[in-house]
Amino acid sequence: MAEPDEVNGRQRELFIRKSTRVAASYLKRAKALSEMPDAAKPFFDVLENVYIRLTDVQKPEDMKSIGTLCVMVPAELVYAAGAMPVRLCSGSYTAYSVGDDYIPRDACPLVKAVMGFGKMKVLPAFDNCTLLVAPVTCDCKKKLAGVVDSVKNTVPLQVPPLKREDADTEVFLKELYRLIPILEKETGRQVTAKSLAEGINMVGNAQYEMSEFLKYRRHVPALMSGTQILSVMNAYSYMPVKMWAKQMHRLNEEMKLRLVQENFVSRKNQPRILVTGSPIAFPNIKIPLLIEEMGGVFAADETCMGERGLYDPVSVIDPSFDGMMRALASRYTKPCTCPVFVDNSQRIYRIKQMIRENNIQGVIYHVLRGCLVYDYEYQLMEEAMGKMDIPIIRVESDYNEEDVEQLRIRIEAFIELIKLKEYAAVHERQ
Amino acid sequence: MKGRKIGTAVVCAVCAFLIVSPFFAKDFVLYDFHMNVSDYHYAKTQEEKPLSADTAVWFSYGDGGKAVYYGVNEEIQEDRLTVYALTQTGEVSVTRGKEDPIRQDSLGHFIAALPAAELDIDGDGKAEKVYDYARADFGLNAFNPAPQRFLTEEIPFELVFAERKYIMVYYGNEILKDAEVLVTSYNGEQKRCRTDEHGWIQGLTNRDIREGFTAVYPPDGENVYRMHYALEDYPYFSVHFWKAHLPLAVIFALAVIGIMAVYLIRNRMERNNPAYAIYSRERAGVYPGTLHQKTNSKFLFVRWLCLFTGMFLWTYAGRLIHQGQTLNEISIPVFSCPFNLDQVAEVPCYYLSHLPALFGRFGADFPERNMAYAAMFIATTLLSFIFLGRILCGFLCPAGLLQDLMDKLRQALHIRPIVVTDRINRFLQPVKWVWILLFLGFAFTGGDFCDICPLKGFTTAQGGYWTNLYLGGFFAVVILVGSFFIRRFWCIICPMGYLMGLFRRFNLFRLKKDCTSCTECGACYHACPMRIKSIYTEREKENIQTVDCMMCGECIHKCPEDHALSMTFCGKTIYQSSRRTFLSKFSGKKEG
Ligand code: SF4
Ligand code: SF4
Ligand code: SF4
Ligand code: SF4
Repeated sequence: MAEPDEVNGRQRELFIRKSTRVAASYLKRAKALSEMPDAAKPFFDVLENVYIRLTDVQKPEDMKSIGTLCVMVPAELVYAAGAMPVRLCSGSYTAYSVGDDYIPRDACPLVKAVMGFGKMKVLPAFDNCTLLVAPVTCDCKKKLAGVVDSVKNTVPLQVPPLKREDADTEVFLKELYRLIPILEKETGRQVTAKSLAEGINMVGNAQYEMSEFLKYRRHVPALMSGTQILSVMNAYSYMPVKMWAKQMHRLNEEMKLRLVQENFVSRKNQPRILVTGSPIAFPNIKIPLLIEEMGGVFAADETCMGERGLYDPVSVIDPSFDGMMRALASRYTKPCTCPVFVDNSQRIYRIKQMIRENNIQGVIYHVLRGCLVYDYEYQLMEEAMGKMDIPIIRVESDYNEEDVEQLRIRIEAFIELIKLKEYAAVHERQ
Repeated sequence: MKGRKIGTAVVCAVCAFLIVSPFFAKDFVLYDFHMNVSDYHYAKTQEEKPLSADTAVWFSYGDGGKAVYYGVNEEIQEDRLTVYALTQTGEVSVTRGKEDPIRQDSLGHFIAALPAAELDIDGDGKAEKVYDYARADFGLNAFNPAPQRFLTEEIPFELVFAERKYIMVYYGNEILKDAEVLVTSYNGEQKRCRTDEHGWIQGLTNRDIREGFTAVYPPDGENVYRMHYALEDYPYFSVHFWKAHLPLAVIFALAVIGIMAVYLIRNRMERNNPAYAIYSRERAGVYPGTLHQKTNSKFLFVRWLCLFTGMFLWTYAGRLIHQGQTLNEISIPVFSCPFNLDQVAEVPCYYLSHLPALFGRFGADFPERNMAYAAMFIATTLLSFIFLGRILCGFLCPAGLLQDLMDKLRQALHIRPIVVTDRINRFLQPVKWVWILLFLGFAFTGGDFCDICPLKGFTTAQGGYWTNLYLGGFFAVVILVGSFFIRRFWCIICPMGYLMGLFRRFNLFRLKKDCTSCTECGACYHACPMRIKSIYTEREKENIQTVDCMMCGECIHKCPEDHALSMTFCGKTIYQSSRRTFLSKFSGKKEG
């Protein structure tokens, strides 16, 4: 019997074939949704490189990759140590099926996919990471941090389950301080006040570009397909932030042009839908695809692989080294709407804010199978949406294509429901 | 190991000294700033007769606060002059002519007298007997509560310094009540003034008292008494000026020692903390200077401008503008000590901390014609409290500026702050209540809040006034050290600020929150110098202005969400947070 972590040649080949096929087909479908802006192409190229051509992430030669397993790892700090953070939360169906052998059945597919990549060793973007930083958030990630350590050196990062008291955020601050020497040992470079400032500036620049972009995204009718936008956001995981910001700048310029030329990709009355819930990581973009293929507009997302990762900027109060560290600790916990926090009522407020800003007409609540923390919050969300008279459905999905048909029917019905509701509203007014 | 022990011992000793020494501050040699009168020299003046002198004899000062000069009209022979001087033993020394009246035990109160002259002053064609005197008060502590009177038979008419803004009149060894005197002002103008029931001359300006005036009293048709009064004024950069600054210098020196002590103690404590261990000395305080931080904020610029203006208005302005005449009856609540007479307007902290005096002075003591003054004083205080409130803290209070400057100094020195966590803040709240109790109640127990007031030493010294500091000197050191590490440390516990915040409901300036736009990022909370947590946790109410909020706008400045926080004036938004403005510093376009 083969050792569990030794994957033989044939299986490996099969794995590669299957996973690249899925990725390629999803990318094709995303591109085909509507006319893609030229400036979005580099982002798609990055995803192609990582998932189809199986090359390493594009980065300067001497830069090491540090894998991160959650958006709560401060990218600024990793850049300050002279490394590039690569977000390894993946949506690969094939990796998921491999990981299934190592992770209990009821655990979430995202965790399994990470473990699968760890075992298969086919994704250079993954394999070239010399270190994984795994925030201890939900139970699945907590145990993953322990298990994945067997394939890759992993540092768990303790995230406080509460955050209202300053003592709670101090816990995270201490964790970040603890992370510094570990990163420094890995990269051989020092985290200095200067490099940390540089990291904050770099990521800040990306955030500036993104917040400009979000203004275009809010436009009705839409200027760019939401699934393509999600892919652009996903590409951030595999691009050095400077490069991403530069491309984003170009994309913004193109968006401006589109706005002037009134080159829209949707009609005015297409239902605008917000997706929230468990992470939607490439290539598992079936839900956004379905929304847009069924005639909805994927207008906003409140998921950690989408907007959330880059949305909140660091607000440095005292520009000392310690002050910057505090600002990081605060930024990566306080505004974070991740349901692993005991009290997460702020997520509902955030969604209300997004509904208002993006003219949302319906909410799709995505739950990955086994993702308990998000499932917990559905009740509250449903209540809140009911009060606002915004239709909401909960869709559960797994990392395979078996549930696509069922999802298609439900999403289609949901979109029809919104249309009907709008129609009735218009009639009532008349 | 041994070195460290010695270091710790030294730090402890310094701290102990810091804590103990202010208790003896009054007798502490550095705080003894009375001028020694025997160091003055006495000579005939070389200058012209001052406009204020209506008499044939007068006194003046010079030589940077080291000389007292006498002058007599040319036609009068000097040896007819008699100079009386008070001494420490209570006896009056008498000298004649050019003879130097300054003795080892002189107190700095001289009266020069000339024999009566026959002059027709009132122009009725009949000559009256005119008695000319000149009085000098110098080298003294201007806040000496006991009036320095001669009350000798030879000088039946006498002007006595009663209170910092009042001069009282004695005639025939009795207080001259409700009488009319003719006053020649510092600029030569003449006016008719009345004395009140205390014998205090009404209608004298600060400048009259400071630069000299003459009071003329004709008790009957035959005699006229004239006295020129010259209190020693303290010009800039005179000995007095430097002496007045001495307490401040001592306070600052002690503060430096205190800051160093805190700095060292913190480093020591953190050496045992694994999280900070390697950073406590090497990196934690390092300011990179390359962080993109500046977002131009007109609002904050205006705030700094106002603060500096406030500092000017509450220190020198009275002397430099408006002819030394301050708006005595208008009171604007900031924490700046009114023992400085050069404040442009009155400050209510004295009466608020001496409520019995308030009732006493304005109620029973004050004669009716002062009710207008009292009404104006109380009305302006209340109006400021109600309509302006703590925006005065954020924009005008000199004590606030002082603390903001300490904070800037800390940044310049690359020392990181002490972060006030909610735990520390909860501990500070009772401290605030103690101060409020002391502020309002100490006077009722017979105490004097001014003796423990930490702000007595600052603006007074800057204005060039001497003060006795008592325990206040100690607290002054504490708040300097505190505000170095914690921005607006004193404001967190300031009783005056608290009172100003009570009427926030009626303030014209309001702080508002649009809860639907807030992401609970906490930036506002961390930026708030007053550590107000509710601005970040509030999710329902629009009105988030707490009693502590001083409308400084820092929270708005650091908030990254569009219109989540805003400040309004009469319901109109004047400043609000904006994501674009916040992030534009990272846009890479402009820098600087
Ligand atoms: S010592 Fe303090 S309380 Fe007293 S008058 Fe001065 S500032 Fe006000
Ligand atoms: S709280 Fe601060 S700014 Fe306000 S009056 Fe007190 S010392 Fe001045
Ligand atoms: S800074 Fe703005 S967004 Fe952040 S918690 Fe405060 S009000 Fe909310
Ligand atoms: S709440 Fe805002 S305006 Fe008020 S004191 Fe705090 S930072 Fe200043």
